[in-house]
Amino acid sequence: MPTLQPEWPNNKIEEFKYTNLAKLSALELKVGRSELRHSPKLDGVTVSALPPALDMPVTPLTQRALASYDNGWLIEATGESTAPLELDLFAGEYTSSAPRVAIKLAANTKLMVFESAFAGASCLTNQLWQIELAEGAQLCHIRLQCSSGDATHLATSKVTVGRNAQYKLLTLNTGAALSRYEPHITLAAPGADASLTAINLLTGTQHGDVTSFMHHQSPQGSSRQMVRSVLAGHARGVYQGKIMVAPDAQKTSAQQSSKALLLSSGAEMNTKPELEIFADDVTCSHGATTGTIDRMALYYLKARGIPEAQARALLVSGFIAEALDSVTHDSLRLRLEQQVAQFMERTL
Amino acid sequence: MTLLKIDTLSAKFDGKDILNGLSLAIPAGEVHAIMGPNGSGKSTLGYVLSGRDGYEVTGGTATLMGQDLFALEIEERVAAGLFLALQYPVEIPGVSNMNFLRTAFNAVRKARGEPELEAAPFLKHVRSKAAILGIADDMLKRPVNVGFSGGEKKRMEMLQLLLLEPKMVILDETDSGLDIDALKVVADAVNSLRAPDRSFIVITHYQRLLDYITPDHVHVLAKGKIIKSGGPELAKELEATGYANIAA
Repeated sequence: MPTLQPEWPNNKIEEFKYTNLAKLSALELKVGRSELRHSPKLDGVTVSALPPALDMPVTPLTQRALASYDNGWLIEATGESTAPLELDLFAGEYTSSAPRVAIKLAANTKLMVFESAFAGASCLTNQLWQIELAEGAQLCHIRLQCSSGDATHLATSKVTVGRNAQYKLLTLNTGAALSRYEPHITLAAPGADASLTAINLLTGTQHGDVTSFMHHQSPQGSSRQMVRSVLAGHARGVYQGKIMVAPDAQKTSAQQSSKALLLSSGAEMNTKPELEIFADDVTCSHGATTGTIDRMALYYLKARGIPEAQARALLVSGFIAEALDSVTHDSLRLRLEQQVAQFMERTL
Repeated sequence: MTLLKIDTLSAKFDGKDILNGLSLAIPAGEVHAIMGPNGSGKSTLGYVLSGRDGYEVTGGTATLMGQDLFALEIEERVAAGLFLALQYPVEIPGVSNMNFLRTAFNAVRKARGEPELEAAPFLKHVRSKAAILGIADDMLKRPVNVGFSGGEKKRMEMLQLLLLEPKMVILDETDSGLDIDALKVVADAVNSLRAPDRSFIVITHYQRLLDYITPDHVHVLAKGKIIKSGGPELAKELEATGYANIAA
């Protein structure tokens, strides 16, 4: 049964200036039903059917997803698990899906989630994630977006970080023709800490967008955002990072850094930092650079016997090393490094 | 046997003629010093032989053990046995020395048709070489040259040299920016590598390094060609009289 859906946002809407989704209206896809595969149950973690609605920010993507919900899950952590919970959300090929996932961590619990963000051949997915961390909880969220090359992967998350809680997010975007990840993170109570690390590895005509909203609502919160984009072919990377510091959020520390490495003259990076600071005792910094392969470094590696392609791969791995270093879990890190290696093979 | 033969070599950089018909033959097992004033083309010679972008050969030839160097890619020259130690080794953030060294070592091994080493045996191998140079393990874990002192960078160059086992080594002003202790480490490494089938070109502005690495021959480079050659005493003479008298 067709439902009336809001239009896809076009580039006249400021938040979609670099990512025009209007062309998605032309897609003719059947409505899919999402499924979730997950690793065997961990102690202190439950996965169940999602209760009715999520409380998401109102955006063009969430409005559209709310009108086309197909399936959902609730993941609750009530203990401390050392093994990662692996989540693999998927729908059939040539489908459009809009799943929802809620993750709730009770006070002082600890969880690591490895999310395989995948959209299959010609699929479009528009996901909603709501993540809540109660006091003292710690969530390490590693996300690998490696969708099919012709897929569209859209996801919005609303993350609420409680008192002295810690949310660590790393997203590696290397798949999909078009992707947009929109985390809205709120440091809701004193001492909350959040970090967002995004690595974009894009080639061909891929378009990858990370648009973040970091709301500092309480005092003594700290946040760090690190975006590293490696763009080849005619790929286009987008990073829009908004930091909002509320009047009460004194002693806030918020950092943001975006660096892009363009491997070809056809690649393009669009970076837009936005800072809205209403408190006076804060430390905020942001920086953005875009560059190409350092010719002297390339020469140096070759002058030590390393062939061109291998030398370039080494420099690219060096460029994103700082970002990958935040993944301390060995086997997960290896999986991400394999993605990096595959990207190099595709592009260099 | 002549290891390296340079014949009437001319080269341009940035549109300017830097080398103007330079000829030089380096027999196996010898150390040759090339001295000369700033701008005489000393560093250009190293870069041209190594194949750095932007240095254009406009005439002449260079052969390493009979192989035409200019027909080879930069990394192929290294596999063929050429090693240029840079005056200013490059910093590479995010790439650990260990990763860099193993990649370089195995690339050269592969190109020479020799077996590559897995991580564990390579670690053992590199540690044994690092110990000779007084390089601690933590330096091997750090990113290539990032935050290293001049002396540390040159030690790492020597470690690369020990690992890649070249036949023809060119040291480009390796002494610049070194204190006396670091200078001795570099000189000791070079001296320990002297062998009947290996030769060195020591490019330097000053006599100082030659107190520790005694050359078999000394050449004076001016305006892109060798204008005078002699024994070790020529270096001392230059130190006393300066380049002006000779170049004039």
